[in-house]
Amino acid sequence: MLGPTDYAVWFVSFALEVFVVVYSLSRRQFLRYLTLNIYMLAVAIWTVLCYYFVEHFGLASIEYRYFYYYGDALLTVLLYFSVFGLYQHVFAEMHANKYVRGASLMLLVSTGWVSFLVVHQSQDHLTSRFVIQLSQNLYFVGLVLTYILWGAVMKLRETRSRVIHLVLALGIYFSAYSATYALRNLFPDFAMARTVLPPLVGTWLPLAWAYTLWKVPEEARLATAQLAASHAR
Amino acid sequence: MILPAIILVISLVLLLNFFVTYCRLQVAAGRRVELSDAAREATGIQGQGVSGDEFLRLRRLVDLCPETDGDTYKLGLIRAYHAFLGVVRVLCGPVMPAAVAWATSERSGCSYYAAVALDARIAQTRRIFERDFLAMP
Repeated sequence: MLGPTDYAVWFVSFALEVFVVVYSLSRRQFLRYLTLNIYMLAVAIWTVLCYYFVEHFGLASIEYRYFYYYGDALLTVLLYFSVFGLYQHVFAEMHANKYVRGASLMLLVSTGWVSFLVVHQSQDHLTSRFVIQLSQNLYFVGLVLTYILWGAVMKLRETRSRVIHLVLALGIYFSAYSATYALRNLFPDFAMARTVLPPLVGTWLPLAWAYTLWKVPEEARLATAQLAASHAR
Repeated sequence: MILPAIILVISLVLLLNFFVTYCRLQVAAGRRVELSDAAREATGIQGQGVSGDEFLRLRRLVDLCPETDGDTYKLGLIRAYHAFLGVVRVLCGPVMPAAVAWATSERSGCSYYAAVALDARIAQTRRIFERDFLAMP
């Protein structure tokens, strides 16, 4: 049973997701951050559909669970494209876009292939435990991709404040979700990892991205050299 | 059970890494802002040297002024970072003096960040006062 706090967190997430898309459209930045905006739009639609499923079938229904977990897995794959969108921003000056596009296509095909194999092998027991493992692995792949991107940001001395904020927010999101799903896998009875953490972590990304697009100007610059120096120490 | 455990450990380490980097960028940006004379007078801060222990006092002063430019989100983040640094100081105190020195320096940055936020809020409050009260017929 969902309480007022759950509905409030749900509504805040939805409002922030819509804000990111509407703000980008109003500032004519939708195409500049196309993959991020498409992801936010998809998450907003998914949030509305989740609400519909809860209202019509109930929170504990099998319909809602299937929709939630498989929708979440698909959205995670969609979020990979946002990561590659950020790769394109970081490597833009090196004219490496065609390599990034090639890598993203390869990742999509290999993720699809591995997921197909996993689902094919486990089709007799597509349990909630299976989807939790799948989500955990998908989020972990996202975390690795984001960490490599962050390494490139530091190596190339990226100074665009907006890109740095977007990448770091994504890193926090992927690592927090990956840890949450690993916790659920290790301790299935740990209620907090099932009820409290997912909505809070889910709110983080639209909150951080909304703040970045709203408050960090496109032309703002940051010195990553300072951070790189202290990392090397 | 081994794979989820490995994923959990790596995820927590990277989460901490991303969180600390995110907060350090905010603190570093705050350090580049020069405090106004009004803020220095209100807080008693000289130069850029503020003790990390001043953070809570400065936060309370910040809370007295109305929110400016949606700064609550970042202040909340810096508050969490300050608390995390306090834990680092306590845990690493006896064994890792370098980590303690780093945490102390970062805590000082958090305090300076709060002072910068206070400065912005005082300026905003003054603008509201001048616009809405002094302009009244």
